[in-house]
Amino acid sequence: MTDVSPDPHIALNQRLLEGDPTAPADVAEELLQPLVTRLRHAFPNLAQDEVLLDSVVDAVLSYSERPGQFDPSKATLLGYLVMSAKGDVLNALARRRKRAVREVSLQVVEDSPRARKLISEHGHVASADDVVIERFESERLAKHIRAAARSPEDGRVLQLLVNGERRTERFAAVLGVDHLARAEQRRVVKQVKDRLKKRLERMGVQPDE
Amino acid sequence: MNERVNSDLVQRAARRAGDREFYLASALRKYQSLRHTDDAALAQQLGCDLATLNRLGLCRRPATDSATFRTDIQAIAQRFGVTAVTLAEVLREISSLEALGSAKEIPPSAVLMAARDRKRPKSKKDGRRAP
Repeated sequence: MTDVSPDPHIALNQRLLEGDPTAPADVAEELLQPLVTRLRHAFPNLAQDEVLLDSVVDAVLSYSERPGQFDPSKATLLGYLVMSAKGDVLNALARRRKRAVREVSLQVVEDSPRARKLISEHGHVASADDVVIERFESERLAKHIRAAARSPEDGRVLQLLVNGERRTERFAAVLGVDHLARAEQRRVVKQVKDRLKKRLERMGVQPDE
Repeated sequence: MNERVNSDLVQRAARRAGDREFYLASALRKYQSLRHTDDAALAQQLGCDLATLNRLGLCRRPATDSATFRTDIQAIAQRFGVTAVTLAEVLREISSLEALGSAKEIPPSAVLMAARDRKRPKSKKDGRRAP
């Protein structure tokens, strides 16, 4: 049986549910600072960024307005708020990235042949936000992949999938079936790939990500 | 915990809570706008310092028409050491203003239609309509 330590903030949740008018102030007082610390650890590039601070504040304010959305059986209050704030950060960065791309695109059309060339080559100008989003998404993906692999063979097949490998003989080799006939290799490889893709889908990961 | 950092965060939270009707900060902001007062003046009126004013803004805004209005005000006042009567007056003033604002949103045409729908009493003696 897993030993689960009690949530130190559960009393705050109870006070909110009971309608205590001072509870939201105590939630902010107790949880803002630890949340900022957690988020700075998750997004070191954004340690001093307004987006990070505003996302933390909004996560706390929204929670106090709707405490019923937090399910204590699934996470601690701090864990729930970290997830919520992380989602807000990623959404805010995605919005900022879109805005930056649009602004650069407009500028390109107006003035600069050189910048136009840059956009056509790279799709858009990579920013610090892109780096953060990509790093966060890769970490998330890697975590799911590690969880989906139940054997060393699974791990190697997943690695090939992530690398974009499509050749059957490469998969057959890591599965140790490359001595079989081509048709049999294809059948075994397809079976293993389908099983792993289904497992990833159940974890909420699109294998094409 | 770094108290100054936390105080900055609470201040930031109180500022953003001013945009949310749920929070007392939204009512305090409206009051300040109505009375053209700054934070220092409002804090003085309520009998607290600026740091307390920020924390006060992060409380749930008690509804003036709620059965718990009185106890909510007392709980907030007791917790943050502000004057309960003043806080209640601020909230009542803002609620009245909001109610008036909602009434103003009714289009004049709707008022005219309501006036036309009202039946005029008939004169019993000569059957003529009353003026």
